[in-house]
Amino acid sequence: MLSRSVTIDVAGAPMPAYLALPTDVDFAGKRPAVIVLQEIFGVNAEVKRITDLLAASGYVGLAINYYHRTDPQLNEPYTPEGMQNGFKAAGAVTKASLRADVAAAIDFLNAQDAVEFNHIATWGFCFGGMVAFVTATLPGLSAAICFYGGHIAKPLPDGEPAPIGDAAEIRCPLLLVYGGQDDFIPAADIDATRAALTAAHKDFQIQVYPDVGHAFFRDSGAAMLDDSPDPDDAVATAVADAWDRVQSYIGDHC
Amino acid sequence: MIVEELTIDAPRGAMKAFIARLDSKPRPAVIVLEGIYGFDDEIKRITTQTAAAGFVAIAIDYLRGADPNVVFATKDVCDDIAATRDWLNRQPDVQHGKIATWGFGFGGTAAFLGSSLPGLSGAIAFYGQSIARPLPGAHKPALDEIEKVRTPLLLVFGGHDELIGTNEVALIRDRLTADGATFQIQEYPEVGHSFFREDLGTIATRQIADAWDRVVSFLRAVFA
Repeated sequence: MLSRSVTIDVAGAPMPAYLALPTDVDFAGKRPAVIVLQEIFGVNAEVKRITDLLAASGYVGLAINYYHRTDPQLNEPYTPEGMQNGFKAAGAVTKASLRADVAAAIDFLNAQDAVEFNHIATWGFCFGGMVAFVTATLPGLSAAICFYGGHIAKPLPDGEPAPIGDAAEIRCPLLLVYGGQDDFIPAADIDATRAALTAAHKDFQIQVYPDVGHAFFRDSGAAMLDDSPDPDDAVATAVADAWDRVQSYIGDHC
Repeated sequence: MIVEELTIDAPRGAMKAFIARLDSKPRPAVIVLEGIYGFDDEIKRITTQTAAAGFVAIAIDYLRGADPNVVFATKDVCDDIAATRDWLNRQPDVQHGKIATWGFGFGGTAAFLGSSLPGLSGAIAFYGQSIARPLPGAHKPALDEIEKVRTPLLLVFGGHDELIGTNEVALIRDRLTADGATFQIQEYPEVGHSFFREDLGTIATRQIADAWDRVVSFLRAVFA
């Protein structure tokens, strides 16, 4: 696995990103790519871990900092203060800025020798799960994966209407994953998301793990590598199953 | 999404059309105008995408399979757009009088020509050739074919368009300014003709996404 920091031009604004390539990239030809969409904490160690993991699994991984206009270097720890700084940055993004950023990431990936043209998925977490939903209206994406996307069924922090209102414009299949004990996302939000996607006749799957909470996939390195997680450990079994689903979903659609 | 193929009667004969809408709620309408690629899957995809954004969208095969490089007659094009406008105004799921056009290539030229018609709210021309140079089979450019632009215009061009010189874009801007027209011109320096098509395998996601945002904003503004 080879990783490096890159800068992607978004209409004149430099967007920092973290690119991870499989080590066999020189030998295996072109392969699908996955755009990783951070939580609200910036492109931190956990986001890089996920991106590296994708590269280790044979994909090109690219984590973009969609806060680059206001907070290009945001990299916060999982503390109350970190969350506060993250929410502040999240308040400055718009649907248009997110679509411009992901569109630029798609063009960047399509220009890479290692990437198979337009075989690109997004995978977002928390706030980034919403970003994956909002940007699923873009051309060039084969799938969007939304892990516990917080603002999908409620307005964005900047006041824009809930993304489920744009469901008809979605252009790629969606995998939405939630924890049933999520303090930030009530079951009613999941129901509203399901209803909007159904009404718009979209291709989607919703997976809810009843016994886990928000951000259950975070810091899940050990659980993911565990082939036989403890069946009594709800988080470990959810992580293992979710990671299997993600790989299958990308494999089936990209 | 409700989609349907139909025919519309126009002065020079029946014309194939493809209509898409989210539901039967009355909404503003957009007439989608094909270019050199004709009445193909891509024009229908764009029509469906337009409908998904909350408009009744209808693509018309006003070229009827003919090559626009041979003859492109202002009267014929305007007759077809007017017939479609009148047909839309009779539909219960169209907000009466709220109709715009959106064309590509020669369809962009058609949208420009159609902006001279009454009863339209706006016209969007993507890389319309022959706006500033003589129309095929005619002696005048579209700019001189019409008496007056009557609607707001959104004109989009690629800086690498092999069919439209940047001097032509400058000329269009000067003329529209002198005529007091309401217009926006958006140029994307990195892309060429037909950049909005997604079946050509080119990398223009940024420009496609930006242009789409501008189209939706323009339509919402002219229908407001």
